[in-house]
Formats: sequence, C-alpha cells, structure tokens
Amino acid sequence: MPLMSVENLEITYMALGGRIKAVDGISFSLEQGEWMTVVGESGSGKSTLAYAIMRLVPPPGKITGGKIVFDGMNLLELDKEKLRKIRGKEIAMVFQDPMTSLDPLRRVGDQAAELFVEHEGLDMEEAKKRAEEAMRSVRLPQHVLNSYPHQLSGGQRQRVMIAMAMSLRPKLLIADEPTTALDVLVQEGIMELLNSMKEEGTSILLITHDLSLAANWSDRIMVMYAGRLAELGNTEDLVERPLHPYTKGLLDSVPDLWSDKEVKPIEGNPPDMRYPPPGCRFHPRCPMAMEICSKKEPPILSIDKRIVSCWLMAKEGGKA
Amino acid sequence: MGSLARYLVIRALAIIPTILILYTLVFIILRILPGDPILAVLGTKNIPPDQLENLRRMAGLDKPLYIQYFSYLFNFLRGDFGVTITFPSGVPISTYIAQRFPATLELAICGFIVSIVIGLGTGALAAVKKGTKIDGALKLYSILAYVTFIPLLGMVLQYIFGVYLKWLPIAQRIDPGLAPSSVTGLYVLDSLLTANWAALRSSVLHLILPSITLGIVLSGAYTRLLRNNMVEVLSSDFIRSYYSRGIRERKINWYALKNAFLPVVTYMGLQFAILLGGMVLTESTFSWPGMGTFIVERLDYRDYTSIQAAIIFFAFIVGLISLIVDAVYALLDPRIRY
Repeated sequence: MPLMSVENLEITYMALGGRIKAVDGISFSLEQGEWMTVVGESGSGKSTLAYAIMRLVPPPGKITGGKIVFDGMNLLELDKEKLRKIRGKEIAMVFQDPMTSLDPLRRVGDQAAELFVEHEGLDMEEAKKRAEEAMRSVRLPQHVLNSYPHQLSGGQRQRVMIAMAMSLRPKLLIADEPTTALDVLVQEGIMELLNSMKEEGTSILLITHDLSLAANWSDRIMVMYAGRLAELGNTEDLVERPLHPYTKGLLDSVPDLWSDKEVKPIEGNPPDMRYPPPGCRFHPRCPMAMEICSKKEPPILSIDKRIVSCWLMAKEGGKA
Repeated sequence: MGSLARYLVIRALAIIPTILILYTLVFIILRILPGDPILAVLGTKNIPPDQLENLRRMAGLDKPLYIQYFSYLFNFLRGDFGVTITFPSGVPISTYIAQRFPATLELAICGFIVSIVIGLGTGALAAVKKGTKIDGALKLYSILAYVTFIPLLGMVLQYIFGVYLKWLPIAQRIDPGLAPSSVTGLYVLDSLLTANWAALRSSVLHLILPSITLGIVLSGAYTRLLRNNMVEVLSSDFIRSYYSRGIRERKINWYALKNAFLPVVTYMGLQFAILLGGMVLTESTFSWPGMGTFIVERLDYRDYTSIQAAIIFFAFIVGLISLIVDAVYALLDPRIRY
C-alpha cells in the first residue's frame, strides 16, 4: 500500500469573478521513502496541491472534491485535533520563503522546542535539548537557538525550518519551493538535507518550477499544467523520453552548460484560469496540436509505468 | 543597550522644542481670548480705572507682551511655575499641581488600562471571528465608541449605575473624610500602602465609572487597529508555518496577538495625548478634582499663569509617555536596536 494516495483531487478558489479550479482532478500515489517532485509553471496549481495535503489551502480556496488517503486515513475527513496531531509529526512542511516563515518576535530555540512540547509532551528543558540535537543534525551552530530570526541568513533560516520539519521524523515531508529564495550554493546543501531525510525513510514531495532540480534529485516527476496532470513518470524515463509536448517543451527550455543544445522557450503564456481553454488546456501553446485537442479533454493514459494525458498518446495506442 | 540610552536622551531633548511651541501657542491664544484676569474676577463691577490699572500692574499685566512671554519662560525653566493671578491670587501653582496631578494620573492609568483590556479583547475576538456577525458587531462598537461624546456616555452611566441602581458614586475621588494619608497622592496606592481598607474600597468605587467612561471611548480605536493588524498577521507565512507544525490554535492566536500588538504600542503614545484631552471632559463630568477640572476652573478666571503651567505640564507628561512607549517598543521587538 502506498504511503499516500491522492484521488481525483479538486480545489476551487471562490473568487469574485467566478470559480477557479486551481487543481482539477489530480490523482497520484506516493510510496514510503520515495522522492516525488511536482513541476509546473506559476499558477499550475502545484503549491495549492501541497497546501491541500496539509489542509492549509488559504481562503477563499476550498477542497471541493476527491480524497487524500494518508497512512490509511482520509485527511479530508479528519477533525481539527486529529489534523493538528498529524501536522508536524506525520507530515511536515517547508515553505518557500524562509525569511517570513519564522515568528519574528520569538527566539528560534523557543519555536523549535515548542514542537516537542506540543507533540511529545516534553517539558521545556528536555524540549530544548531536543531542539539542540535538531540544529546539530542540519549542521547549525548552537547559538542559532538563542537568536531571533532576523539575526540569521536566509540559508540558516531554511535550515532551521528543515531541522524543525525533520525533528519528529515525519513519514512525509512537503517542500514548497524550498530553495527558490536562496542562492545556488545554499540550494545544494538544502537538497542534500532533504535527501538525507529520504535515506532515513521519509517520503519527499518537492514542489518546484525548476525541472533540472527535479531531474537531479527525485525518483519520480509529476508535471502539472493549468491545474491538471500532464505527465508523471520515473525521472530517467521522463527526462530522456518525454511523452507530453509540454514536458518536452519544459526540457527544451532548460539551458545546459555542457552542450550546445539550443534553448527553446515554450511560446505563449499559461491560460487565465478563470477562462481555461476547452479541450486540452495546453493546446493553444502546443506545437503538435490536432483538431481534437481543442474540442475534447484528453484521456488520462497509463503507458508502462507512466501516466500521461495527451491525445497524441491516445492515438499511439495508450490505454485509458 | 548603550545606543538605546543615547537614543532616549536625544528623544528626551526633542521634548523641549515641543514644549516651547506649545507654550507659545497657549500664550498667544490666552491673550487673544476676550477678557483678562482682572475683569474676569471683578466682572462688570464699577471700579475706578486707576484702581484697575493698579491691579493689572500687581499681576504684571501692564508689561509689554514679549516681556510677559520671556519672564514666564525663564521662571519656568528655573522650575518656578509661577503663582495664580487671581481668585485667590499669589498661590504657587506647584501646590495645585501637587494636589491635582495625582488625581489625574490615577484616573488616566485606570482609564488607559480599561481601554487596553477592552480594545485588545474585542480586537482579537473580531480578528479571529473575521467576517462573522461578531466581527460586524464589534466594528459597529468600535465606531460608536470612537465617536461617543464623553459627557454623554458619562451621564448615561451615572444615571444607570448611580441614580437608578445606586451601585456606584458619580462624583469626586473618595467619600468625604476617608482620604488616606498621602504618600504618592494616588488614593488606591496610598490606601494599600497604609492598609486603609475603607479608603481603598471608596476610592476604587469612585474610580469605576469615570475609568469605564474614558476607557470605552478610547478603546474604539484600539479595537479597530488591533483587529486589522491581527487579520493581517493571521494570514502571514509564519502563522501558516505554525499551523503546519501542529501547534495548538490557541497558542497560535496568542502569538498572532503579540505580533499584532506591536503597532498598537506606537499608537498608544499618540493616544495618550488624546487621553489627556479626554481627561478634561471626563473630570468635568465626574467632578474629579484633577488637572482637567483645574484648567477649566482657571480658564473661567483667565488665570494666564495657571493655565500656561498646567498645559506645559500636560505636554511634558505626553512627551515623557511617548518616550516610555518608544523604549517599551524597543524592548518588545527584537528587530529594533537603536
């Protein structure tokens, strides 16, 4: 049984101008100890998906359909207290902007120790000791505990966030663009930390717009476009033999230092989600678009270990 | 903290020009007001002009205005607040201030505490219940509280709790003859220090209605300010991050309140100036023998020196409070270092 399976998840933002389906019928599963990365442009719904697993979709967003089964429980049916006990302990999350993810008025140590007080019922003294251990595990000096967030660098703060996320050995870690706000050298260190968690058995769900980052670290990659799944597959297969034209477009738009490959950005912009195009949402930008693409939604096909949603593949004999 | 001390000294020095400007304004306004101290007391009685001149000279009012202006200023800087001009004349104003200021301070502190308790409580509640009927009702409350005329609210409360229910006294600081022996001049504190329980009971009862009147009117702005700050804080990243770590909601709301409270601290310094204005009205409504009623009484007599002294004293207190507020802010917010 997979650690988590998401079935037909639907998340709607109730905006003044109408309803926006930010996530529209996404299904996937995640194995224990697996690293899966969700890739997509801004507005593809990838972060919303991450928040939904935490049940932290910001209003006016709402989960309007589907199931998220984690460790045998449907997360969407849990009450507040059960949910609280899962958050931080079973599922942890690291956010995009480390500069604003810590309470500016409280010492880092107090915020870190609080976790052990809340989830393990430790007293403050023991909790502080555990917080010290947690900081050691991400190679942060002890004085960090007595610092206020503004006294630390962005990289240090993200390490603090990861230390907190790691400290209770969660079964799943969700990392929403954890390195986007950091420089490249720091990025590498953060990814290594995530990988060390994976090696200890934690499943990782990384959200990023950076396909090369995904390709370097993850076991599987899911590509999202305009709230829908475009393609999902093993990293190697997907990078070497993309089935969906969007995946191919993304790969072509990544510059490569070691080859003379021409960088080809994808033409056009993601759709206005208030008025998504009919049929396949990618068809207005797709170089291979056919007549049917603008009329009917493509089926979700399973080909080998791959899932892809494209009419081209349907023609080539993929099974729905 | 050496730099904080330096900052505070600079801020303290900045009070001086504020007071100078205020003194100048008060000086001018008093001279523009029709009437003078002598006429104000003697009224329209028929007094021979030479006797009137004589009285004016005794009060120093015959001198040119600039001399009046500077001689009072120099005396004030030497710590001499001057003496009353008329009715009674020649009483050192410092004696009045020594009597009246503790009464004002006691009421101001209690009113301030009431306003903070109501303001923070309602503001936090409105923020947590954002968009519900409770939020709407509290919005109405904050607007009504903000625009309410102090004497009107005071009289309504006096009627309900004093006249109709007869629960609380409606005037003065304490029942006659019960005043505790003076240590600080604050009756509640003095009766505690001298273990005078009868005085404690009476002074607390007397404080309730004026403090609540003042507190309600001042709380309106806090309710709104805190609510809006807290709504913003509650939607910020670190709050979401607290939730993602499974911290209890009550704790999270408390941390949000602390963050939302910071800008309110700044506002308190400003609010204290308004509070002193409110004091004049509150004290008049409840016949409270403080600085506010002192100014009103002395204004009737056009007692220039008394009014100048009282207002400069007020200004000094306001400056001091805003200084304290700045220091408190620096202590509360670890990001601020001067």
